[in-house]
Amino acid sequence: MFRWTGRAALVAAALVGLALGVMPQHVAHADDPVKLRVEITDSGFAYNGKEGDPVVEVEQGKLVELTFAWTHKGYVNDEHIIVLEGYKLESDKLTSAHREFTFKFLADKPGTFRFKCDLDCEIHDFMQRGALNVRRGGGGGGAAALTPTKLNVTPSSWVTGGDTVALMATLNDGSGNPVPKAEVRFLLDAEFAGRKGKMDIGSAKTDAKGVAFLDFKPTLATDQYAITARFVGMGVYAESEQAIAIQSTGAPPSAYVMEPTGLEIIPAWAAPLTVGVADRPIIHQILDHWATFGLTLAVLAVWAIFAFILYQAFSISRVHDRR
Amino acid sequence: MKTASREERLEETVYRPLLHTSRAWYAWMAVLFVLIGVGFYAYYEQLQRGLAITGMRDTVTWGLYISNFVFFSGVSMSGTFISAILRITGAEWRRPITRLAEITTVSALLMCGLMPIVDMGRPDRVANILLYGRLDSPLLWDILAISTYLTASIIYLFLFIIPDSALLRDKFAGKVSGLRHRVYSLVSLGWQGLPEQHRHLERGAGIMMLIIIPIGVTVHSVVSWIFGMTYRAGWASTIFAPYFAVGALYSGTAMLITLMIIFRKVYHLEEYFTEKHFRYLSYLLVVFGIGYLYFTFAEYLTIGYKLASEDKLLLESLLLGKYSPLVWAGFFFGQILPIVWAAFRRTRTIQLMLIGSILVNIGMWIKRFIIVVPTLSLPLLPYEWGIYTPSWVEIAITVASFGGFALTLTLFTKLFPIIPVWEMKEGWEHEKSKQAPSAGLAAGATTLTPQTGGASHV
Repeated sequence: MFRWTGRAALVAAALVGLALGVMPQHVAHADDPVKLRVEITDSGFAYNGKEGDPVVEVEQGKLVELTFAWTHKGYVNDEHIIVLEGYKLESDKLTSAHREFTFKFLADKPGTFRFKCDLDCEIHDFMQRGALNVRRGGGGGGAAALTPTKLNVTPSSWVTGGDTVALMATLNDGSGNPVPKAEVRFLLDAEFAGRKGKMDIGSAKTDAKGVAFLDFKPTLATDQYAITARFVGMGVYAESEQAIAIQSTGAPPSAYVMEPTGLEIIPAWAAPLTVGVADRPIIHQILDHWATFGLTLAVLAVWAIFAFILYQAFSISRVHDRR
Repeated sequence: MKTASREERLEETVYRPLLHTSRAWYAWMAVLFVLIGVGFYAYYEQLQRGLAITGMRDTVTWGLYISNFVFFSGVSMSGTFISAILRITGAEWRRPITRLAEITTVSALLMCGLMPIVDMGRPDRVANILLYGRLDSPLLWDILAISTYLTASIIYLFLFIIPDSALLRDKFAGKVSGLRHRVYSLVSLGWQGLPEQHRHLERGAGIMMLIIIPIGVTVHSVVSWIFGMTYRAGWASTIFAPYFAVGALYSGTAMLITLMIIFRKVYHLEEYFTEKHFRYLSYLLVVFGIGYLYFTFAEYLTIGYKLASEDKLLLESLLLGKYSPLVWAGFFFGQILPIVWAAFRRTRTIQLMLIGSILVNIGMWIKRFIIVVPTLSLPLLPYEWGIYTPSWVEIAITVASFGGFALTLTLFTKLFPIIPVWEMKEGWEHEKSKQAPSAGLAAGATTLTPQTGGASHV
């Protein structure tokens, strides 16, 4: 029994070994993100255990997950907001309570891009510097894994008499989750010298709910405005856009129509008060209006010079030949 | 036969128009009085019927009057500024042209100052500015700057007339009316050419030369800030102050060239307004013209690159739309062509310079018009464009203002020599002293060297 059991175990082990040998091993897929981790230490950034100004390398076209981890031992109250320039990515605030943030993005732009702590601090500026080097070429394929987004501008049509229109754009990913910190540009269809194009009228960043606002005041002499809101993509989010139409009626809104008013005699007791002005020292009044006084002094100085010049001129008549 | 010395020739040439009056002069005066008379009638109509008689309305509230105002302020830059710069730098070639430059400034400023009063509709409203004006308003700065510049220019002109008036007082005794002789006596301030009198004159003139330059620049800056400090398409610009100052120098130099050529012909001043003067003024014209082109380019490029909604509409109307014929004509005939003519020796003839300098001023007037009117025509809300067509009243007053400008020049040159005789003689003395240093006449370029005795008073 015992021998059988030992043999059976050997057979089982051989079968398991065979099965493991025959089973397909896990192969790194092109769409799998490249995972990188940078630690924020007391002396700056550390990457792969090395302190200093790290250079993190990836190949163009890869999906990247670049994690920044708060690992301070000494400076336990330090806070950081990491930005990755060029890719326009910004982390949440990293603290001892919220220690990690991962940038997820498609490394589609080749080149070297700085990352740093964006909090205004000279020490951070000096110590927390690093770079992402995206090598040209590479396997690519990551673009297929981008998360689709949907930009929704509400309301999709307006009727305005020339007053300001509040354009509200909401950016969500494919699952309906908001996309924060994303820049939404608003473009107006325009024509100049027979050439049609889109004119940039402004941009706004989405908040935590994925909402961005822009006030737009129609000023073109047209009754129909076509506006396109565009998100050009960021991180792992794919681009998206939506066009809306604004109808301008040309008539002022009711807010601009006022009832006729007449002048009234204000009784003495209701006259506007000038509290304390007369009581203030003259030097304070001068300081309050230094520009006015300065200008007055300058003008008076020039006219005083004129007076001196005229004095010189009229002094000529007082000079007589004594010979 | 005895050959007249250059001093005698100068006096003969310059004093002739003061003593002899031709029929052409009377005819010219008659034309001017008719033009000005029509202008006065138009102004009377405007006073009677209000500004509704003009083409200005609630959208386009500034028209020809303010365009003229900016134009005349530009022309005024010519004289005193150029005269002061040339005096300070000791440019000897300045001597024959300074007087004409200075009176051009005064004449232009008189018309410049009148235009806003006409534009107000009721002249009594000037009192409101003085009584209730706010020092933080560019409009009040403008009034202060213009009145200061006008005063400075009159003083500047007056200072350099004193010795010439003494010459006229002595030379014309018994040859002119008693009233005119009294005017010369009064203006000459008892000038006898004494060293102490020279010291007073030098002191006053020296200070005046220095301060009139920043005052002149201030005027053109302030005129530009009336526009530049408003949020209007085409006006809200940070470069307007230097842009206007360079434009003023450009149009002012052109006006000086025009007037020099006319006076040269009418008063036979070929010996004094020489080819060298026109060449040097051409150089100035080219420099100022290129500077103005550069500013024009910078202005339109920055507006066109950003192409904000309102700017787009304005730029389209200026470059391709309703105002484009004016803009392109002003640009080509007022800037490109005169600069090219003035730059090359072959085209730098008196005839072409006369045409070119007149074109510059027509072009610069157009430029001022297209600064003022199209921006105001542009709707702030999506309504129709404002429409502005000047009425006969505005046209008549505009013509009269140019008539007034010409009248001031004509009357002044009838009363005082157009070339400063004493300064010319002083220059010749300098020449002599350079040739014979042992003669002991120290001659600084800008000093009013005391000369002793004689009727010359220099």
